[in-house]
Amino acid sequence: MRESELLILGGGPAGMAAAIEAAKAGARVTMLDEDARPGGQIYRQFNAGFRVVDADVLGHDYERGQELLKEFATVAGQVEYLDEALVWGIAPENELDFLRQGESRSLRYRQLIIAVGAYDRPVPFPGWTLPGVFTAGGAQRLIKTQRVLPGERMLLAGTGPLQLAVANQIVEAGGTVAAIVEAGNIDTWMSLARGAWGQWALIADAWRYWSGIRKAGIPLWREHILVEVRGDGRVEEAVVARVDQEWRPVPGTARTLLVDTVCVGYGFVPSVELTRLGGCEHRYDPLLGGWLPVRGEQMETTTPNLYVAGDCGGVAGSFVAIEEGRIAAWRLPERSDTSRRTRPGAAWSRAGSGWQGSCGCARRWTRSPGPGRGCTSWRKTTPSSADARRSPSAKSRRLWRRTSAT
Amino acid sequence: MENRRVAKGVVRGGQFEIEVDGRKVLAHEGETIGSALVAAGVRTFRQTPKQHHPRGMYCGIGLCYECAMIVNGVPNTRACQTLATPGCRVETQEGLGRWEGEQ
Repeated sequence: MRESELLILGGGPAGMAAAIEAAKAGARVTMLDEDARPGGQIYRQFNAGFRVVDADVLGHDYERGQELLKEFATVAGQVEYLDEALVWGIAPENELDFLRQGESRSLRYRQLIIAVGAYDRPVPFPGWTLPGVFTAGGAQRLIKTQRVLPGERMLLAGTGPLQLAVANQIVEAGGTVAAIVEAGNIDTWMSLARGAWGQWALIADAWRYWSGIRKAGIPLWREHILVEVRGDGRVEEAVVARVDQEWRPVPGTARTLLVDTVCVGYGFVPSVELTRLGGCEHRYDPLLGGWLPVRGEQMETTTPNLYVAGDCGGVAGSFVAIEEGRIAAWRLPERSDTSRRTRPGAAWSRAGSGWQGSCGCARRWTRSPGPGRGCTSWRKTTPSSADARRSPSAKSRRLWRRTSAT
Repeated sequence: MENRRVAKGVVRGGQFEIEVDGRKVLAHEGETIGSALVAAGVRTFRQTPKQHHPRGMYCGIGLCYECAMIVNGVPNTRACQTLATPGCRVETQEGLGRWEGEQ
């Protein structure tokens, strides 16, 4: 079986930043991603066939992505990028199993950085499985890098700034947004602004979305929630209602909108499937998206040689993900079991040189309490002690024992 | 036929046809099967095994498998992750689907 010196799962902001840092220090990196090109969800690149003629219409995220992708391209010689790879197992003895080109393959790693990001939190409601209901992130992918509008007349429902971003993108692409339904109230937005204070780029983005929506005359209903979607085999109408402080619909306030598409966004959930397979200990933090792996300052988990960077360690957005990726890769071998190390340490000590990191930013965003960091749900939920006992890591360990016994 | 393609900002690659349940649907180089179907106004990608409820594209990023279709005889292929290729055969998947040639 092949052995990889440093294996990175996920080619988004965190994974790319980690690969750049490690490659600068002279390491050989293997990167696995499900997509044909690096970029992840936020910095997703166009597939071959598309040619960008006006990057302005694609938004600031696209520009920021180009910078990181360019830097990543400079280390391409040291990074083996295995595209269209789907990881399905992490076995003991640093072995990883994945599916690629219709075949299952395995490889061993010395160090593993999991940087697989987050995904839209799925929230069920009557009619949520009707064709025409999309997650906000899914709709955004269609609009951004496939340049296809998900529908004719769209309702955006949920909470958070992604709603505004998607609505703005739909309008810029020439689509019609019937309304934006935001479950939070004005306090939610104020605390979001406070949480983002100092993050001027993010605030500027939010302002741009906001003014784009106002210019298009799209109604934005705060303290309203999507209650139900109806239709015969596809979305035909949506019912929204006013909510109380606990986000419960207020009787008698329901109204029906004729729409053919509904995009639902209630924030993001860290993708912890692989850290669970890796046996990492997890904890519950509603502000960072739910269950997430327990990590130390250098992004190390409770499993030896397994590091986590970016949103899969707690939803905090791309800026934080980049810094965490750099920190995770920084002087990685010096932290590892020295008896296994064959490379001279000197090359690795240079790892830090490229990192002038705005680490303070990362720390501030990942540690300071309060809502508004990332796009996670702002509704506070308290994990029950039963939840804590049934931690995913314990579950995955049981699962592992069961599968290895058969 | 509906067309929801956005021309602004990009130039699309070559145009070709794919076959969806025996019907011709236009696609461009670089588009996924899912995008080509959404652009053509197709909503239902599969039917659930027991209650035969329609399902369409939901997460759009390869996680939820709601867009599973039979592509070139291979069932449970995610339309949102699979690139359209000239002449590829796409079928709405009934239940768990069937491999080509399977009874």
